[in-house]
Amino acid sequence: MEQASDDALLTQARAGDMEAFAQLVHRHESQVAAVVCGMLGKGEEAEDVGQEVFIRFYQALDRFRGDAKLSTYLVRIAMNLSINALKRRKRHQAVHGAIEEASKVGVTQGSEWDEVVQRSLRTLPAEFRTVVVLRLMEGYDTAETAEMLQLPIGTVLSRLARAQVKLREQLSKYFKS
Amino acid sequence: MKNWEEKYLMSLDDPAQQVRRDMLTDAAQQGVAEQHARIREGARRKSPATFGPWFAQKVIRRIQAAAQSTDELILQFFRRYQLAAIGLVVALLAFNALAADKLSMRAILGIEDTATTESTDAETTEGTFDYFSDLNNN
Repeated sequence: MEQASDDALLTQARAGDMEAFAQLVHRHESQVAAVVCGMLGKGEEAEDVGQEVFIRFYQALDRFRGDAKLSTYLVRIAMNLSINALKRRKRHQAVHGAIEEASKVGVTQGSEWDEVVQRSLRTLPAEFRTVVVLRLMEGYDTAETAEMLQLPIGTVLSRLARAQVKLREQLSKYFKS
Repeated sequence: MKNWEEKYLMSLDDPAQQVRRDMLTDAAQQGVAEQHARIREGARRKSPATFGPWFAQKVIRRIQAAAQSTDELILQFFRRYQLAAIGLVVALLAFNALAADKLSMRAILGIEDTATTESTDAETTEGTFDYFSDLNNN
């Protein structure tokens, strides 16, 4: 059976068809999950932010004119809400004492090296982490990353370079061994 | 420390070893590039990301629950004034009952009869207004 296009599903969802909206959620869940889990780590908080992304999208259905691709639009919301969640987490940690972030967040399954890199990635400041998640983890090209983050390409490149240097410094003990 | 790093640091003390130093700088740069490649490989997502089973259903449920709670909020808002409104109606009825000359249901509810004769009497006593005759008289 031929799959309905995003536009067709959007039209149906705008008319109040929740089944069509559920299909859109299902179709774009992976992209949103990749960004949110990349930023926050897996867990309840990430799922909550993921749900919030689609709720915001539902509330803005009538305002979404399709100037950007739907996936780009969703990734942008996901990134903004993840950054907000990181800020909340930081405030919470400031109030309730510092908790080692790496021990709190889940780590994606994979080799030991992958886990070490992922953990190290979550210690980066948010502005670097956004670039690394989109460019290195998700494999979007630099222009797409710049569009999603609404940044100049030069800024994306410089943040990426600085993020890599920071990661290399953090992981230097592993390179020596 | 890696062997090439040690040699590189030693070569800094010996200006005669420029060629060797260049070679080691190349090796260092290559090492850095390799390290970056390893980091990129470690960072790359290998399996499709997901929030877990029934995610779409959970989202739909939350949207529906939010819509329902808005309706409930509106109801609650009016429920808050429900008692006050009932009190006001009872007070009005009581006032009407006390102030009425005779105690009938119509009087309590404040329904007033306007007698048709009253209105016609008023018309006949006041007379009609004739603009032209008034103009001539003046």
